[in-house]
Amino acid sequence: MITLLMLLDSEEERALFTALYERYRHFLWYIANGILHDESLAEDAVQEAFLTLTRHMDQVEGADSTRTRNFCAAITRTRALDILRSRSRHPQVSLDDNPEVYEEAQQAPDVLDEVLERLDGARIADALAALPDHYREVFTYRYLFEMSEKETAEILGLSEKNVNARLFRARKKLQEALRDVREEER
Amino acid sequence: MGKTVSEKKIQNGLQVLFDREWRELPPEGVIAQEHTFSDAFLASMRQMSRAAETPQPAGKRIPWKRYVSRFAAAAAVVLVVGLGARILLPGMAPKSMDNAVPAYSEAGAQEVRSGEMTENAYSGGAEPHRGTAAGVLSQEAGNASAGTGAAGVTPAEAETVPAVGDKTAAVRDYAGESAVADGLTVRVRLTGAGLQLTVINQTGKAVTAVYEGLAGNLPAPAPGERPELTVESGTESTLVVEETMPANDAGVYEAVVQIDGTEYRVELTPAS
Repeated sequence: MITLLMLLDSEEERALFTALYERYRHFLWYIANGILHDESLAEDAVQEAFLTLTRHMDQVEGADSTRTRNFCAAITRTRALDILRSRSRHPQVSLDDNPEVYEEAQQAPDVLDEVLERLDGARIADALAALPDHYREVFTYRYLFEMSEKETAEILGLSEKNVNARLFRARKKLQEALRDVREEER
Repeated sequence: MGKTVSEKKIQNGLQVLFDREWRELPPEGVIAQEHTFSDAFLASMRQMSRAAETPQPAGKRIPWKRYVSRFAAAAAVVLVVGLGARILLPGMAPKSMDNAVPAYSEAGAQEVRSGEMTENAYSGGAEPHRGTAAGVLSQEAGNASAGTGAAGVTPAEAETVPAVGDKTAAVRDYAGESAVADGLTVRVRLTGAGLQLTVINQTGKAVTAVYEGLAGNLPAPAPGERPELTVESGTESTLVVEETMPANDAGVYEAVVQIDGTEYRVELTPAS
């Protein structure tokens, strides 16, 4: 782990990194353990998350910022899910990762704006919470943290094309979920 | 370029979701009491923190190069002393790999397949200082524990294996069960030359085994660099992977192999 600090460019980044560790290590472990149900694996996920953080310190505003806290939590959740998938007997290969979906995305009309316009944050949060993890992850990095396709692809271990395809599918899923909510309201 | 309505709305929804989840977390003190990070993890992080806090002379960085060169010098001394001892003491020299591979014994394999642990089927425990043992996996074994041990490795044969530590082995899939197609046996051995993966194929068709790397030590070899083995039916073949085998925190060596497209975790547990 000492090599992590060597990966950082400046004293400021090293100090910030240390502060993040001191501030969030227990919470991040709790989040990882909630996914993995294994204390040692949860520690591994936290270490992996801190390793990923060294490459994205530009996203970190300050140790106490809400955005930073959410960013650390998102990365930890992603790394924990990676560990969970790698230990699964049949690794999940999403059909959404088929780059052909990307071509479909270029042509299909997107009416999500219309669907979302009249809904409040809490309702949208409910629909997002019900989405499969891999869809919520891509939304989180692209929209909440406003990361580029390239950065998102790096964190998720996907190609940029696959990030686009997954984003397209995630939007469609959200649209379907919200349509159901609106129909129930009528 | 500005954000679309949906991007803003999703961002807002995600923010609400994060805040909600964060509120549901127990207080920090409760979590800290619930889990204490392992000593090794904490020690490394504390070391890291100290290194970061240590004031460095203006314009100078932490002298990592000095630390690395000291470590390299110490490693070189250990290597030279080790090699010298092996040359001066012939009894310590490793024997050839050909001698290290025990002959396959159908009787031994059959015993393990049927779930019986007999002397023939297990050498690691019977001869704990003779070095090695091999894991056997078959559909008939039924569970992983029945597959633990060495098929067809007699104590006499085990003596020819270079002493690299006492190991027993089990081959398991990710569900913790030993389940490969009928007639397929996988034997794993850890020797001084690395990991040996022997596939004995009585399935009636050729199978392919691919070594995927050590579990938990990613990245795995690139697809073109993965050692691969095609085994015709009615034959057995051994793949040798020259790799240092670091044990995980629990002292268990783990590797990943893929047989006909299904991944299996190979565990080599030091014998007690």
